[in-house]
Amino acid sequence: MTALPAATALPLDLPGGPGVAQDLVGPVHRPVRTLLRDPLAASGLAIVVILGLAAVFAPLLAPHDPTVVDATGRLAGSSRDHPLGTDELGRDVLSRLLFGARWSLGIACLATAVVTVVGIAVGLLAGFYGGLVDSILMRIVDVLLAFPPLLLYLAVVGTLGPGIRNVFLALIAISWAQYARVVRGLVVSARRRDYVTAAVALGASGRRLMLRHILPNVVSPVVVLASLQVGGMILALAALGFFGLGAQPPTPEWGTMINQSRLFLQSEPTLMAYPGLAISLAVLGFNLLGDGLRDALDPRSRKAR
Amino acid sequence: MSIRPAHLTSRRSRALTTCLVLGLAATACGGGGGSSGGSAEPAAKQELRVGVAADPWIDDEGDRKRRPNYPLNADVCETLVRLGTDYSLEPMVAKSWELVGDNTYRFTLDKARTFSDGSPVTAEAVKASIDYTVAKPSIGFSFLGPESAKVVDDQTVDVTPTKPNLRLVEQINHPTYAVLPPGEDPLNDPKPTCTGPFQVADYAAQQQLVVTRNDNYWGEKPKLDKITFRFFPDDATRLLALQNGEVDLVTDVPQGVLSTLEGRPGTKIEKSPVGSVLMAYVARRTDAGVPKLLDDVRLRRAVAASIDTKTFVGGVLAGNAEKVSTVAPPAILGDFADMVKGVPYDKAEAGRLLDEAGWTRQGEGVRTKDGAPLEVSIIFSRVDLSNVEFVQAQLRAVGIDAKIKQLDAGAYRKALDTGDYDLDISQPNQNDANPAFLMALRWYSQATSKNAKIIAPGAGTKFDDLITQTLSAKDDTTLRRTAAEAMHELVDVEVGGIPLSGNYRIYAMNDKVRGVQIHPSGTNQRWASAFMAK
Amino acid sequence: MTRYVLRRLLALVPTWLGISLAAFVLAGLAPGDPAQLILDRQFDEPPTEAQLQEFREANGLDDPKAVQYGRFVLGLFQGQLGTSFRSGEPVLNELVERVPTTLTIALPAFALALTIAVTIGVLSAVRRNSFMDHGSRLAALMSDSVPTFVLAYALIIVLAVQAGLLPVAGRGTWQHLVLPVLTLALGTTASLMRLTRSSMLEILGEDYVRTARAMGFPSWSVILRHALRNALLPVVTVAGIVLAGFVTGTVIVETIFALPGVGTFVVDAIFARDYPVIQGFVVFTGTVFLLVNLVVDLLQAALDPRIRLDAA
Repeated sequence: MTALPAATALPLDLPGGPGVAQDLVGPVHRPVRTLLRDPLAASGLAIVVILGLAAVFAPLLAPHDPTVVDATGRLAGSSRDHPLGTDELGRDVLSRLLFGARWSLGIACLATAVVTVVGIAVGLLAGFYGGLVDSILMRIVDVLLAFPPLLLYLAVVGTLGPGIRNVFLALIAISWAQYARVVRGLVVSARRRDYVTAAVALGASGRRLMLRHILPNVVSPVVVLASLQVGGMILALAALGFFGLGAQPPTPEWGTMINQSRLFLQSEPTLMAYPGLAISLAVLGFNLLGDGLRDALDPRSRKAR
Repeated sequence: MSIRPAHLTSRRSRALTTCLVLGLAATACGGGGGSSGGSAEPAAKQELRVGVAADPWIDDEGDRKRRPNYPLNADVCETLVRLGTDYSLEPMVAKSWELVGDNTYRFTLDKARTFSDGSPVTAEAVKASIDYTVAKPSIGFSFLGPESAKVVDDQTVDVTPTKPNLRLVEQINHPTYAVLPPGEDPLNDPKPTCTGPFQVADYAAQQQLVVTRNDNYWGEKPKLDKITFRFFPDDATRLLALQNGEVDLVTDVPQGVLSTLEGRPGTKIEKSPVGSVLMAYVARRTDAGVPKLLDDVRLRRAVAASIDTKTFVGGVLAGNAEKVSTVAPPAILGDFADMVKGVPYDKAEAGRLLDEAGWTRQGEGVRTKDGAPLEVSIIFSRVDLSNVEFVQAQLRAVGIDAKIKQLDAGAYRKALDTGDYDLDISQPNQNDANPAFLMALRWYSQATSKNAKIIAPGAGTKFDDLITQTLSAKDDTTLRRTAAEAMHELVDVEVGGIPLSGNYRIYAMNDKVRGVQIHPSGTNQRWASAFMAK
Repeated sequence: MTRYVLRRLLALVPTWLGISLAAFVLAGLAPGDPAQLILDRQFDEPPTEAQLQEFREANGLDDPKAVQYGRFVLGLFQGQLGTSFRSGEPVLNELVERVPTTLTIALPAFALALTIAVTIGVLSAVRRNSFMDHGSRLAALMSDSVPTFVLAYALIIVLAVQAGLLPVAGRGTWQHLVLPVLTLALGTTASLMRLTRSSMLEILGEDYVRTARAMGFPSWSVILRHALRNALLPVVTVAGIVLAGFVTGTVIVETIFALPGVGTFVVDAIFARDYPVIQGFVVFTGTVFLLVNLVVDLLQAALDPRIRLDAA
C-alpha cells in the first residue's frame, strides 16, 4: 500500500525477494499456457487487457470531452447522456474515467519500464563487477530504501514542483533501488553457478558473460517484479494525486479525481467510488498477472501450489 | 449589536421573523442566528465544539501569529476598537476616541474594562501592547513606531503614527493590536491574559484549543461555559465529524458542498454578509521588472471579459455567493460601491481584444502569435480547485491556454515573490474598516510585499495617487469615495484585479446551536452570544 | 555473537554517513540563500545585506561545504537536528513530541497485522489449496489493491457515519484509535500474510520437516516448533521494515484522521519548505530504519545460527 516502505512494495514471495533463496530460476517452460490455465492469472490478464484497450480507445469510447465544464449540470446522477453522472463542474464522469486510464496506467507502465531498465543496469554492474562499484551502488540503494517511499515522493515532487513530468521523475528516481538490489542478488548467485564458472574458465569476455549467461537468469524474476510493480506505481500516483501533486487539472487522472471527490463523500459517494474502483481493479489486475507470471515462470513455486 | 440588512438568507430572515413575532428577548434576536421557538433557552451545560481546519499556529506560510485570537477566532483577546459586521467601528476596550492635532488619536479607556484576572486595563497596558506589536508581530500598514504610543493619564493614551495616517483607527481593530497586560507575550505564551469573554484553558498543538468563560468579563457575559476548537486538516473528515456529532459547528464550508448539506435533518447552514472577494490578481511583470504577457492591458481586459461570473456564482458556487464587481466587500465602499463597474462578460469582446493584440486563432484552438501559443499560468491558494478549473475552462473557450499549477504553500509563496505566474486566484478577507486596506496592501507602490512590484499599477499612476490620498482622507465620505475611485481605476481601467465572486463566511452547524452571529471578516468572530438549545 | 553484533554495527556506519550526507545535500539543493530564507521569516522587512552577512558568519554559512558537513555530523552526534524555520523550535524536540501519537497507532496496527498475517498465513500453508487458502489469497490480493485513503474513507463512512460506532477523527479515547489502526493494519496484512504462507510452504517441503512428520511427531508440534520458527525468518525482515515505516510516519492516515504525528509533521514541513525539519527528519528516519534493520538481523541470527556462521 502507498504508505508502506519501499521494500514492502516488493513482491514478497518473489524469488530473489528479501530473505528467500535466490537461485530458483530455471529455463522458461511454456509460461503462457501455464499462465492461462490459472484462472486468477487469466482474469488478471483480462483486466489488464480490457483496461489497456479502454485507455487506448478512450477518444472513441468516451461519450463526452472529459474537460468540458457545464456549471449548470453539476453533480448530476446517472442518465442516458451521462451514464456515470457528472462531477462538481458538470463534467462527464465516464469520459474522465476513460481518459484517466491513459494517464494512470500510461504513467505507471512507462515509469515501471524505465525503472526496470535502470534497475537491471545498476544491478548487473554491481553484481558482476563487485568490489568498490558494488559497495558504492549498494550503499546508495541502502540509503534510498531507508525511507518510506511516499515521503520521498512527496519530498521530490515538493522540491521539483507538481505535475505529471515531475511525478514521473520522482517515481523513477526512487523506485529503481529495489530492482537494483534484486537483480544484484540474482547476478551474484548466477555467477556462482557452474556453467558461468566454466565460461569464465573458457575465457569468455565480461560483456559476453553478462549478456549471454547472466542476463537471461535475471529476466524472468524481473518481469514478475515489474508486473507487480505497476500496481505499486498506480497506487503511488494516486497517493500523490491525493495530495494534489499529481496530474494538473483539467487532466483526468484517477487519484486527482478521488482527491476532488472527497468533499462529496457522503452525498455523492459514487464520485469517489468510481475512480477508487478503477484504481483497485487496475492494481488487482496487475497483481493477479504478476502472481500468475511468477508461478508460470518459476516451476518450484508452481509445484508448491 | 447590528442586524445585517440586505444579506440575510431566506432561512435567516424566516428565523428572524419568527423571533420577532414571538417577541422573544432582544438578545436572542440580536444574535441573528437561527433562534426560534420555545427551545431557545440555554441548556444546562453550555459547551460548543467547533471543527476548524488545520491548527493555524502550525502555519504553512511560516508567519508567526499572535495567538490565540488570530488567525483562529477564539474571542480571547480584544482590541481598542472593534469592527462591526457592517464594517463600522464600535468601541471595545476603548470607550471613545478622537483626533487631536493632525496625526494623533486619543483613546479614552474605562475603569470597568478589566483583564480576565480582574485587573483594570490601564493606559500603561495599552502602551505596552502597542510597543509589543511594533516590536514583534507583523504590523502591516499602520506606520506605528516604538515612540508612537504615549500615556497621557491612567485612562488616556495618545497614538501618533510615524507618518501621517488617518486610517489608524480603522486599522487597529485587527487582532494583531490586541490589548495585553504589560509583559504578556502571546507569540510564545499559548495562554495569554486578555480582556475577552473567554480565556484559554488548554492548547494541544494540532489537536485542539479549549477556551472557557471569563467570569470577570467586563461586557455582556458569554452564555457558553466552554468552547473546544478541534483541528481537522482534512476538509472531508471535518464535515463528516459534524455529521457524526463529534463537533457542533464547522467553519468555512466550501460553497460547492453546501447543497449536499442543506436540508439534512439536524443540520443548518448560516452565512455572514459578503466578507471576502474571490479574485484573480494579474501579474504584470517579473520581480526584475521585466514586462510579462499580461502587461498588455488588452490581454488583461480580454481575460476579465472571458469569465462568466454569473454562471460561476450560480453554477459552480450553487448560488452561495454574490456576483460583485469590487475587489473588497461592496459594503465597505458604502454608497460609492456603484462606481466600480467591473469588466462585463463578453466573449466576443474578449476575442476582439485578443485579435487586436495579434493573438489569432483558427477555429476553436489555442490562439497564437508568430507561431507561439497563448499560454497563461494560474496559481491559487486556499481556493477550491473546482473554482480555478472553471476559470481555466472559460479562458480556453476564448483560445487562451491556461495551465493550472497546484503549488504547496512554499512554492506558492515563492511564485508570488518572483512573478512566476500570470493569474493568482485567491480570496483575501477584508479584516479591518479601512476600505483601501487591500488595495494598499497588495497593489500600492509603497506596499512592502515583494508581490506588489509584480502586480502594482506603479508609482505615478492615478490609482497609486488615489491610494495615497486615502491615507489622509479626513472624513468617512471622502475616504469611501476616494477608495471607490481607486478601485474603479484598479478594476475597470487597469484591470489589475478581476473579481470573481463575493463570498460569505459559511458555517454548518447542529440545529441546537443558537445565537451565532457570523462575522464577515476573517478575524472578528465573537462567540459570547452563542448558546446551545436544550 | 558479540563479534557478530560489533561487525553489524560497524557495517552501519557507511550507510548512516550516506544518509547524513543525503540530508545535508538535500538542504543544499533548496533554492535560494539559506540566510535569506531564515531571516525573511524573522523580520517583516527584507533583511539588509549587513544582517545577512552577520547571520552567515554567526552560522558558518561561508565555510567550505566539507567543513559545514563535518559540523553537521558533529551536531548530529550531540543530538542537534537543527531548528525549524517556522516555529523556531529545535527539530528534535518537535519530532520527539510527535512520536508518541504515531506510536499509539503504529504499534497496535503492527501487532494486529502481524497476528492476523501469521495466523492465516500458516493455516493457508498447512491447509494448502483449501477453501481458506484460496479465499485468503484472493482477499489479500484485493486488499492490496485499494488505495489507503479510499480504505480510510470507506471505513469512516461505514463504521463511523452509518453505523455510528466510532468517532470520525481526532484523539482522546481508545475509540478514536480504532479506525486509523484498522486502516493501517488492513493495508499491510495482505503482503505479510502472503509472505508467511509462501515461506511456510517452502519450509514444509524441506526434508527435515518431512522426516519429522514421517517419524510420527505430531503434526502441529512439528509445524509450530520447527517449521514456523524457520518460516518466520523472511517475515521478520519485512515486518521490521513495515514497523520502521509505521514509526516514521503514516502520512495519509494521520492526515485523514487528524492525528498530529510524525507523518503530518514532515509533510507540513515539505509543503512549507522548512528545510531544517526535512533534513532532521531524513536523519531521524534513516537512523530508525538502520536500527530496525540491525535488530532484525540480530533476531535472525538468534533464530538461525547459520547466519552468524555465514557472515563470518
